[in-house]
Amino acid sequence: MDNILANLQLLTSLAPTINIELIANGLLVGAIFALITYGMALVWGVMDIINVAQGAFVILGGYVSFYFVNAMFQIAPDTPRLLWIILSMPVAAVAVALFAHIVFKLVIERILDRDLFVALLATFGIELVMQQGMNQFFSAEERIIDAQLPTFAFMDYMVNIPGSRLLGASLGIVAAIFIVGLVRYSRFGRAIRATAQNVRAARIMGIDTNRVYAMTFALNGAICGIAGSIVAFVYVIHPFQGLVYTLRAFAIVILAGIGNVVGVIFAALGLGVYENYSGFILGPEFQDGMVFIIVPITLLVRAWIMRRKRQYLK
Amino acid sequence: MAQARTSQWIASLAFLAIAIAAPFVLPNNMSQLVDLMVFILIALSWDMLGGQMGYNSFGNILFFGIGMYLVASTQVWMGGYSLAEYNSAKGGNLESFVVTAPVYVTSLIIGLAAAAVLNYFVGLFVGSQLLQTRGHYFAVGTLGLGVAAGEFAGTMDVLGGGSGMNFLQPPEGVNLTMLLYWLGLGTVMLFIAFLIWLHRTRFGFVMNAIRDNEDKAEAMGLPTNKVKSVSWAVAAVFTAIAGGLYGAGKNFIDPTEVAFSLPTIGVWMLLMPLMGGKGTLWGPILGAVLFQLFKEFFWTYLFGWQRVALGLLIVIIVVFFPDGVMGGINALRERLFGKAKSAGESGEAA
Amino acid sequence: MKHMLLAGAVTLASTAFALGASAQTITLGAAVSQSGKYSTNGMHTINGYNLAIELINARGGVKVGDTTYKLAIKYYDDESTPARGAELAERLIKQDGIKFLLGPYSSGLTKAIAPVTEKYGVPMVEANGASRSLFTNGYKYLFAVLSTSEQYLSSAVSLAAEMAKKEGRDPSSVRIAAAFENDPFSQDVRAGVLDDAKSFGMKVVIDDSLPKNLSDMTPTMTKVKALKPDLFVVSGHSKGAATATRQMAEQNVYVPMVAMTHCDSADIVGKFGKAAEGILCAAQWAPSLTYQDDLFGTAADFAKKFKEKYGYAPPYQAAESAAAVEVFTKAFERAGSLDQAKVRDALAATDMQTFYGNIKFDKNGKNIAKPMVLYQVQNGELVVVAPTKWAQAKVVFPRKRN
Repeated sequence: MDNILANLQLLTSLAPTINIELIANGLLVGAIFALITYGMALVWGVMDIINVAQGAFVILGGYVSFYFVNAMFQIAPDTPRLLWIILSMPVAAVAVALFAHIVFKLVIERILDRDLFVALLATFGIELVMQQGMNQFFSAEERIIDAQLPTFAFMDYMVNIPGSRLLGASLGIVAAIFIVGLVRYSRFGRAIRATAQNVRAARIMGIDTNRVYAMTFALNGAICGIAGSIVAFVYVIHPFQGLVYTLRAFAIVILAGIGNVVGVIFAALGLGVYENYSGFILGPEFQDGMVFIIVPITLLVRAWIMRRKRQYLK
Repeated sequence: MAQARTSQWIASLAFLAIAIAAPFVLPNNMSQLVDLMVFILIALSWDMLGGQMGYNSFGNILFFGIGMYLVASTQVWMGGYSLAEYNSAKGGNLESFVVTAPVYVTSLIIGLAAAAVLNYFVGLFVGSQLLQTRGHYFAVGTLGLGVAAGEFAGTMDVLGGGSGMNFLQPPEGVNLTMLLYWLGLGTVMLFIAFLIWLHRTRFGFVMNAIRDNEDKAEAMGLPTNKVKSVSWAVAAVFTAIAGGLYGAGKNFIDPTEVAFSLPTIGVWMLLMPLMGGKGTLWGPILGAVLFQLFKEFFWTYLFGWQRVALGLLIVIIVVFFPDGVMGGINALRERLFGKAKSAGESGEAA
Repeated sequence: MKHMLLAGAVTLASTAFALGASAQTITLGAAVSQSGKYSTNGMHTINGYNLAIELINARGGVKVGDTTYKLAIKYYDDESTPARGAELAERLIKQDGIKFLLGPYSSGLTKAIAPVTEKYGVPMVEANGASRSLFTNGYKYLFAVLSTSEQYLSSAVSLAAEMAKKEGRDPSSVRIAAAFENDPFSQDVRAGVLDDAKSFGMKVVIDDSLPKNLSDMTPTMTKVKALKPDLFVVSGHSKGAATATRQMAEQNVYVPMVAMTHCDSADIVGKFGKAAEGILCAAQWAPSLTYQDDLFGTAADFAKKFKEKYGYAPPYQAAESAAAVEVFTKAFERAGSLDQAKVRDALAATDMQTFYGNIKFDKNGKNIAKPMVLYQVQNGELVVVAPTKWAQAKVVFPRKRN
């Protein structure tokens, strides 16, 4: 308790610098979550499948990126780092999309019309396979990509925006805009939305919904691939680190409500900031708990509101 | 109906006979047998909601963890020691925290009873709130609760925080694994008898009615909300006892890796009913046995790849055998002898 | 990948061998994390064990009485969960008939396994469970070759006191920021640091516990920046070291003295280069120490052999694991028997020098003959700066600003 009071005191005494830094870094982190969550929300909304393996896909993307960047450094040591890091994103996107497609053909396709609980378990199984598989193939060592970017300091070094996070967040936003545009304006995107709204109607109109599902899942893979390469140069990748991202994406979707793209972005940014504040005030050991508890609390609040309308959450 | 009931009792007696013989046949596998009893308890409790009522919970691990911490704490407290002092030693100085054999055994049993009672109310409360959400929202909400619980337990210094908490060392003369096995078996038999009885009561029918169509059940004026919460509370009781037994057997509680470990025990407890056949009495039990066999086999012979194998097993079960072994048997029986009469037992959640 | 397959192959080979010619083989058992959050250091541990076994067998094996035995290890994967570790220890003992155990990785797992080995009277030599509380329980069958957790960062704290004195300040004016992972090992290190700080009268201004699934330290870094402590101590296995190093650089966190654990196993120099400069690292062992034995040669020889075989420089986790196997073999030889009680007594009487350090157990089974060393990253190398006996260079203080 004393600890919390002291932290609060610190927060107010050194305002605004601390607040600006916590908020800025939270937003940058939130942008990465937004990307990962967007993929999860897409699959959830269109296919009614919760992909627990989302985090493992992200980590896989990180590894692809890591090996690509390292290989390129060895082949061409004098080229600029940044070039390869940015190029590694489409590489990771394609690789993870292909992997996701294999997963789709082997497993997801068979559980499309089953209830969501089956999807939760099946993708959890995939997560287990991927975790230990990556552990065997890429070794248990923590991996990072060192982007060697400068940090931008403001207000006498009290507010610092790391270049890598800035790059990660901006690339994440670019990718998100591209994907949202794709879903909104392309023919493929129209098919996705039609399928999400009404499967039967979409089928009658001649849309190959199964193909739409396959494409959606692969698109999610591509998103995870991109997010993974960002994670590799902003954070650390490790075969068993994926659940962190899955659970956060989960909390964000619940917070935003399914099928709410704008909500996902705001909820993700908000979560980044919220997480930093709860870590700062309560202590970092509370950070994860405070994120996960959002899920039941959000649901309870929504259930409570709906009950007043004599409805229930289903 | 009466005939089905008799066959249930016969099956129970057969199970009891095998379970009594097991320690003599497999004296070197005692701790695996204790785990098996724990698994049967958590599988049957999960099935009360997941199988009988169609509410798939990921949050039963909450009761498991609370039960474990409660039993450990009760033992320390009844041994005459301060919990804060005991845990500030971080599992050290165990020589100065000793209890006599009678105190150890009684405190274990009282701890289990306390865990059972307390978790009944926890289940009732959490259930009355969370069970208002339905379908996958319930699954997702309980999942969040289960993971969060472990994180918060890790911040409580009085429970040892992230350093975890040791159980008291069993004193000389206490054969802990044997004790846990018989306690576990006793609870399992109690639970089986309770379930056989419950499924013939009006309460049991309401449970199945909720599974088949909750809206209609509610419209018929059945007390669905009460039945849902009370069922979960009963499931919580047996899950908590299982948690206490498991923790005492493992001797060491880590908040996120042992007590509230959603990715392991928390998922296994719903995998087992699925393997055996959910919504049946013997399905979860069969599932627990099968799961334990598979798990031990994987861990022994697939060093480094065991989780891959487990993951594949999960995928194969949910994709290809969603009705489990009992479902397969029923399907076979229906093909051979025509449709079974009692739909309540073999019915699958819609 | 290669190492993993190799480790698997060694296990398979060793189990096959154990079945085929059990009379000639002593099979040690070990449950080590191959997956889960401790898998990085679990890998180092297994590599250390395997290298020792290979060298010992290449030299003919262990002579116990009149018979010469080969050594083998039966591994299980405890998945970084204590419950699993306890189960596997019991299985090794009861079902696989293993009579001697090597330790797992991390204090938490050791805490879970020690009661089991104690219950069955199975000697266990462990190399990776440093928690102080392990050695206050009167365990008779637990032997640890490493220094206990409270010693990890205590030399860093006293160094900070020394530097303060040099600057003409009282040591009690030193302000410490502490960030420790919320797991048994790191929390024990924290307890040691708090005790040391108290004895110097220093003030701990930040006392954060990092979540186990650590990915971001922004809140802690922000606090450190605001409070400007004199000493920043971090412990959180490999991931903690890597995350802290990266984020300190990225967020322009400047503290004159920074001390961590696990920087060698996280390879912070290789990963971050300049950003790691000046960081102090607590280690159980360093390749530049002057210890030696007749099996591995000097510490440097061990490092060379290890690097040849596994392709990376050995972090101390690998060295201490190899030393644990060596201690076991010497005890077998001295006991002249494979009787568990006799081997236990021989272990308790151990007083020897290995490439890893001197080893002598006190009555609780912890090694009291070996100090910790403190590295500093200087010009991209890990250089020993304390204790003075092995110091290769003077400590650079304060740390350069990037």
